[in-house]
Amino acid sequence: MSTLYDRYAPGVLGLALRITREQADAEDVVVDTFAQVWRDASRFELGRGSVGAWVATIARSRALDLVRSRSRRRNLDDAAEAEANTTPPAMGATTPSPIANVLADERSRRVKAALETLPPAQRAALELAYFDGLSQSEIAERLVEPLGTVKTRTRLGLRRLKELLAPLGPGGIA
Amino acid sequence: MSEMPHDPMRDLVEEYALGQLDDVQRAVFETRLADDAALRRELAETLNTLGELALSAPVALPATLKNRVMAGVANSPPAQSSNVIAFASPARRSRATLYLGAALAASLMLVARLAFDLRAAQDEAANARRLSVSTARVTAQLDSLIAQLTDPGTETVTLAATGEAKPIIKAYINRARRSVTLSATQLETLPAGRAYQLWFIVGAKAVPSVTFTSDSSGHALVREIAMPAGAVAATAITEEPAGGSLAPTTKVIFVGKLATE
Repeated sequence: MSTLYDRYAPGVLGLALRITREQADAEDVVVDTFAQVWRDASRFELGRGSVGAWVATIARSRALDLVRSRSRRRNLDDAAEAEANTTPPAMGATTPSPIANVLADERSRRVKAALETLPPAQRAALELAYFDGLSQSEIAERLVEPLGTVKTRTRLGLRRLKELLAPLGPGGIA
Repeated sequence: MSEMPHDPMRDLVEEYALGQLDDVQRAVFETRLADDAALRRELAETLNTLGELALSAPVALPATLKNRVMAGVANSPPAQSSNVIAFASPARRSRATLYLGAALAASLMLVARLAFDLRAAQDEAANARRLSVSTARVTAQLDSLIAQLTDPGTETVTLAATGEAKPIIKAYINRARRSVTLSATQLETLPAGRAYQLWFIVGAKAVPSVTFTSDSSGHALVREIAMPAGAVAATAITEEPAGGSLAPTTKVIFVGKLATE
């Protein structure tokens, strides 16, 4: 577990911060994520993606659950104030980390570069779907675009990203 | 050389990976996933890509966090059964969708039943080294249902109860094909000679459509209902004589508003 933590925790904390936008909540997500990984380790299926992908899926789910739970508790003013006072890391950005190794930095740089090649509309749809956990209908409403357009943009954006990141190989986050 | 036919299931990989399919679509996708190695491979690649994306912004870890994680792990015995987070966690659901989750169990059962029938029939056919007539029929039903539910042009409308009725009804509407599939659960069994009737609201007019009843467990699945010409603003359901009515004779039990065409 210590090895898993050392390898994935910086990325998990970055993801959790991106979604929750609060340090304390993000750290709670990290704790919950690795507890879940430990509990369900025997059920991991390699054929359904890499270890990193699995860990990321759990972390995303935990973070989105926390945000939804939090939003139910807070009134609108609290939420607006919190948003105004925090600046989430940009998607794909590499926040300086004293413990990040060169390889991880290189991978992050390449993911960021791949993201920047996506048309802004595709990237926006993908961001809202993945990091905000919005449904396609909610994204369509948010972007004032037809539902079919949003579905196509999300699909094409993710497919393009998959093509661009394929050279990184499965060892990337596995 | 002929081109490979388009497989609509391939278009759902990304939505499944992002957790954006509804319960019925997810059940259909997972049914197919179990038997399609290429689809599983494609899904794994997509999940890996999302994993790369997710973990691409590492940040410095607080010194105390590792101790907290290890303490959390120590207090979390490995699972013996379920409680596993699936790869495709559902996207945020509306309250109606949450309610629908339970209701859609019936739809899932219908889909699962078709899938089960199909597999059972396929086993039988393999043993006999030929496809039976029932297999072909069930295959056609399942393929048709999958095509309808997975078509990118299909939108989903939940018909809300206007009163205290428990049933939840969902309509899968494909405007391009002018076709609707209706899924219902927990429907009240009507007396002999009575049926539920679907109406399309076009302008201020209620255009009559099919009548249907539920099975003994309250389920109903009506496939490929033709939509009338014109801009359909809503669908509604009333209780009518079994033969149907030209205009509603009872109050509307369910109504579902469509997005503007």
